[in-house]
Amino acid sequence: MNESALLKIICRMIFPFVLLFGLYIIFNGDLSPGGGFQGGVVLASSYLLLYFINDKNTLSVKQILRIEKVLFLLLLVFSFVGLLTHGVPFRGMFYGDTLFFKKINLMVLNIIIGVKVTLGVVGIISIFLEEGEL
Amino acid sequence: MKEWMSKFTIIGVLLGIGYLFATMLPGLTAGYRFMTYNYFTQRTFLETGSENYVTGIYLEYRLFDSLFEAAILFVVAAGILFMSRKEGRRL
Repeated sequence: MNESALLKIICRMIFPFVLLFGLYIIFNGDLSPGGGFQGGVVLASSYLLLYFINDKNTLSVKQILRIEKVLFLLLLVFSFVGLLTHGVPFRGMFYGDTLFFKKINLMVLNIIIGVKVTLGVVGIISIFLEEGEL
Repeated sequence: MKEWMSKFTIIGVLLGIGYLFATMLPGLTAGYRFMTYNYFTQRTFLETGSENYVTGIYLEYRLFDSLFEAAILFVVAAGILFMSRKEGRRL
Protein backbone atom coordinates (compact mmCIF):
# COMPACT_ATOMS: atom_id res chain seq x y z
CA MET A 1 0.00 0.00 0.00
CA ASN A 2 1.25 3.46 -0.88
CA GLU A 3 2.18 5.67 2.04
CA SER A 4 0.38 8.99 2.13
CA ALA A 5 0.85 11.34 5.07
CA LEU A 6 -2.22 13.37 4.20
CA LEU A 7 -4.51 10.33 4.13
CA LYS A 8 -3.10 9.06 7.43
CA ILE A 9 -3.56 12.37 9.25
CA ILE A 10 -7.07 12.90 7.92
CA CYS A 11 -8.01 9.34 8.88
CA ARG A 12 -6.61 9.85 12.38
CA MET A 13 -8.72 12.99 12.74
CA ILE A 14 -11.91 11.38 11.43
CA PHE A 15 -11.65 7.95 13.09
CA PRO A 16 -13.02 8.72 16.60
CA PHE A 17 -15.95 10.65 15.18
CA VAL A 18 -16.91 7.83 12.83
CA LEU A 19 -16.68 5.37 15.73
CA LEU A 20 -18.83 7.60 17.93
CA PHE A 21 -21.35 8.15 15.14
CA GLY A 22 -21.71 4.41 14.58
CA LEU A 23 -22.27 3.77 18.27
CA TYR A 24 -24.79 6.64 18.37
CA ILE A 25 -26.74 5.17 15.47
CA ILE A 26 -26.85 1.75 17.13
CA PHE A 27 -27.84 2.95 20.60
CA ASN A 28 -30.43 5.43 19.31
CA GLY A 29 -31.96 2.92 16.93
CA ASP A 30 -35.42 3.20 18.49
CA LEU A 31 -35.43 6.99 18.80
CA SER A 32 -34.05 8.32 15.53
CA PRO A 33 -33.42 7.01 12.01
CA GLY A 34 -30.88 4.24 12.05
CA GLY A 35 -30.56 0.91 13.77
CA GLY A 36 -28.39 -2.13 13.98
CA PHE A 37 -27.69 -2.67 10.31
CA GLN A 38 -26.78 0.91 9.44
CA GLY A 39 -24.73 1.52 12.59
CA GLY A 40 -22.88 -1.74 12.08
CA VAL A 41 -21.81 -0.72 8.60
CA VAL A 42 -20.63 2.67 9.87
CA LEU A 43 -18.56 0.92 12.57
CA ALA A 44 -17.08 -1.37 9.92
CA SER A 45 -16.09 1.65 7.85
CA SER A 46 -14.29 2.98 10.94
CA TYR A 47 -12.29 -0.27 10.90
CA LEU A 48 -11.39 0.50 7.28
CA LEU A 49 -10.08 3.91 8.42
CA LEU A 50 -8.02 2.05 11.04
CA TYR A 51 -6.48 0.02 8.23
CA PHE A 52 -5.54 3.23 6.41
CA ILE A 53 -3.75 4.48 9.54
CA ASN A 54 -1.80 1.30 10.23
CA ASP A 55 -1.86 -1.45 7.64
CA LYS A 56 -0.83 -4.30 9.91
CA ASN A 57 -3.84 -6.57 9.73
CA THR A 58 -4.07 -8.33 13.08
CA LEU A 59 -7.59 -9.69 12.97
CA SER A 60 -8.13 -13.39 12.32
CA VAL A 61 -11.06 -13.99 9.99
CA LYS A 62 -11.84 -17.38 11.47
CA GLN A 63 -12.24 -15.92 14.96
CA ILE A 64 -14.48 -13.17 13.59
CA LEU A 65 -16.74 -15.67 11.87
CA ARG A 66 -16.87 -17.82 15.00
CA ILE A 67 -17.98 -14.86 17.13
CA GLU A 68 -20.54 -13.95 14.49
CA LYS A 69 -21.91 -17.48 14.58
CA VAL A 70 -22.35 -17.28 18.35
CA LEU A 71 -24.03 -13.89 18.01
CA PHE A 72 -26.48 -15.23 15.45
CA LEU A 73 -27.39 -18.07 17.80
CA LEU A 74 -27.86 -15.48 20.55
CA LEU A 75 -30.19 -13.53 18.27
CA LEU A 76 -32.21 -16.67 17.58
CA VAL A 77 -32.45 -17.45 21.29
CA PHE A 78 -33.42 -13.91 22.14
CA SER A 79 -36.19 -13.81 19.56
CA PHE A 80 -37.56 -17.23 20.54
CA VAL A 81 -37.44 -16.64 24.30
CA GLY A 82 -40.89 -15.06 24.13
CA LEU A 83 -42.20 -18.55 23.45
CA LEU A 84 -41.28 -19.51 27.01
CA THR A 85 -42.38 -16.37 28.84
CA HIS A 86 -45.71 -15.58 27.18
CA GLY A 87 -46.16 -18.13 24.40
CA VAL A 88 -45.71 -15.80 21.41
CA PRO A 89 -42.38 -15.89 19.56
CA PHE A 90 -40.81 -12.87 17.82
CA ARG A 91 -42.61 -10.33 20.00
CA GLY A 92 -39.97 -9.77 22.63
CA MET A 93 -39.47 -11.08 26.11
CA PHE A 94 -42.00 -8.86 27.86
CA TYR A 95 -44.89 -8.72 25.43
CA GLY A 96 -47.72 -6.56 26.68
CA ASP A 97 -45.58 -5.11 29.43
CA THR A 98 -44.66 -1.49 30.06
CA LEU A 99 -42.93 0.73 27.53
CA PHE A 100 -39.63 0.56 29.40
CA PHE A 101 -39.18 -3.19 28.91
CA LYS A 102 -40.17 -2.91 25.27
CA LYS A 103 -37.51 -0.27 24.76
CA ILE A 104 -34.93 -2.49 26.46
CA ASN A 105 -35.94 -5.35 24.18
CA LEU A 106 -35.48 -3.17 21.08
CA MET A 107 -32.13 -1.90 22.35
CA VAL A 108 -30.75 -5.39 23.03
CA LEU A 109 -31.85 -6.58 19.59
CA ASN A 110 -30.28 -3.50 17.98
CA ILE A 111 -27.00 -4.02 19.81
CA ILE A 112 -26.80 -7.72 18.92
CA ILE A 113 -27.59 -7.03 15.25
CA GLY A 114 -25.17 -4.10 15.20
CA VAL A 115 -22.24 -6.11 16.56
CA LYS A 116 -23.09 -8.97 14.21
CA VAL A 117 -23.20 -6.74 11.12
CA THR A 118 -19.98 -5.02 12.20
CA LEU A 119 -18.17 -8.34 12.51
CA GLY A 120 -19.59 -9.57 9.20
CA VAL A 121 -18.50 -6.53 7.20
CA VAL A 122 -15.15 -6.38 9.00
CA GLY A 123 -14.66 -10.03 8.09
CA ILE A 124 -15.42 -9.34 4.42
CA ILE A 125 -13.07 -6.33 4.43
CA SER A 126 -10.22 -8.27 6.02
CA ILE A 127 -10.68 -11.20 3.64
CA PHE A 128 -10.31 -8.80 0.71
CA LEU A 129 -7.31 -7.10 2.33
CA GLU A 130 -5.57 -10.43 2.84
CA GLU A 131 -6.24 -11.29 -0.79
CA GLY A 132 -4.74 -8.00 -1.94
CA GLU A 133 -1.51 -8.56 -0.05
CA LEU A 134 -0.44 -11.48 -2.20
CA MET B 1 -33.57 -18.28 -34.39
CA LYS B 2 -33.81 -19.67 -30.86
CA GLU B 3 -32.36 -16.58 -29.22
CA TRP B 4 -34.85 -14.43 -31.09
CA MET B 5 -37.69 -16.63 -29.83
CA SER B 6 -36.59 -16.48 -26.19
CA LYS B 7 -36.16 -12.71 -26.30
CA PHE B 8 -39.64 -12.37 -27.79
CA THR B 9 -41.07 -14.60 -25.03
CA ILE B 10 -39.39 -12.57 -22.27
CA ILE B 11 -40.64 -9.28 -23.71
CA GLY B 12 -44.13 -10.76 -24.02
CA VAL B 13 -44.15 -11.92 -20.39
CA LEU B 14 -42.93 -8.51 -19.19
CA LEU B 15 -45.60 -6.75 -21.22
CA GLY B 16 -48.22 -9.06 -19.75
CA ILE B 17 -47.10 -8.30 -16.21
CA GLY B 18 -47.11 -4.58 -17.01
CA TYR B 19 -50.64 -4.84 -18.42
CA LEU B 20 -51.81 -6.63 -15.24
CA PHE B 21 -50.35 -3.91 -13.01
CA ALA B 22 -51.84 -1.19 -15.20
CA THR B 23 -55.28 -2.75 -14.90
CA MET B 24 -54.90 -3.07 -11.12
CA LEU B 25 -53.98 0.60 -10.60
CA PRO B 26 -57.51 2.13 -10.76
CA GLY B 27 -58.59 -0.25 -8.00
CA LEU B 28 -56.16 1.43 -5.61
CA THR B 29 -58.36 4.09 -4.10
CA ALA B 30 -57.10 6.57 -1.55
CA GLY B 31 -58.48 4.57 1.35
CA TYR B 32 -56.51 1.48 0.46
CA ARG B 33 -53.40 3.48 -0.31
CA PHE B 34 -53.13 5.00 3.18
CA MET B 35 -54.41 2.02 5.16
CA THR B 36 -50.98 0.63 6.10
CA TYR B 37 -49.60 4.11 6.66
CA ASN B 38 -52.36 4.98 9.09
CA TYR B 39 -52.07 1.65 10.88
CA PHE B 40 -48.34 1.94 11.53
CA THR B 41 -48.28 5.64 12.39
CA GLN B 42 -51.09 5.20 14.90
CA ARG B 43 -50.08 1.98 16.60
CA THR B 44 -46.32 1.48 16.28
CA PHE B 45 -45.33 3.56 19.26
CA LEU B 46 -47.96 2.06 21.54
CA GLU B 47 -47.36 -1.53 20.52
CA THR B 48 -43.59 -1.63 20.21
CA GLY B 49 -42.36 1.34 22.21
CA SER B 50 -40.31 2.59 19.29
CA GLU B 51 -40.47 6.20 18.16
CA ASN B 52 -38.76 5.24 14.91
CA TYR B 53 -41.37 3.36 12.89
CA VAL B 54 -38.81 1.55 10.76
CA THR B 55 -37.13 0.05 13.82
CA GLY B 56 -40.49 -0.82 15.26
CA ILE B 57 -41.41 -2.68 12.10
CA TYR B 58 -38.20 -4.60 11.50
CA LEU B 59 -37.54 -5.52 15.13
CA GLU B 60 -41.07 -6.17 16.28
CA TYR B 61 -43.61 -6.87 13.52
CA ARG B 62 -41.14 -8.36 11.05
CA LEU B 63 -38.52 -9.86 13.35
CA PHE B 64 -38.79 -13.15 11.47
CA ASP B 65 -37.53 -11.43 8.31
CA SER B 66 -34.77 -9.62 10.18
CA LEU B 67 -33.42 -12.96 11.41
CA PHE B 68 -32.88 -14.15 7.86
CA GLU B 69 -31.57 -10.73 6.88
CA ALA B 70 -28.89 -11.18 9.52
CA ALA B 71 -28.31 -14.76 8.43
CA ILE B 72 -27.72 -13.70 4.82
CA LEU B 73 -24.83 -11.47 5.85
CA PHE B 74 -23.22 -14.31 7.78
CA VAL B 75 -23.63 -16.66 4.80
CA VAL B 76 -22.09 -14.01 2.51
CA ALA B 77 -19.04 -13.64 4.76
CA ALA B 78 -18.63 -17.41 5.03
CA GLY B 79 -19.01 -17.81 1.27
CA ILE B 80 -16.39 -15.16 0.51
CA LEU B 81 -14.04 -16.82 2.98
CA PHE B 82 -14.65 -20.18 1.31
CA MET B 83 -14.04 -18.84 -2.19
CA SER B 84 -10.93 -16.83 -1.25
CA ARG B 85 -9.16 -19.76 0.37
CA LYS B 86 -6.08 -20.79 -1.56
CA GLU B 87 -4.58 -24.25 -1.57
CA GLY B 88 -1.11 -23.56 -0.25
CA ARG B 89 -2.24 -21.12 2.37
CA ARG B 90 -4.34 -21.45 5.50
CA LEU B 91 -6.41 -18.55 6.72
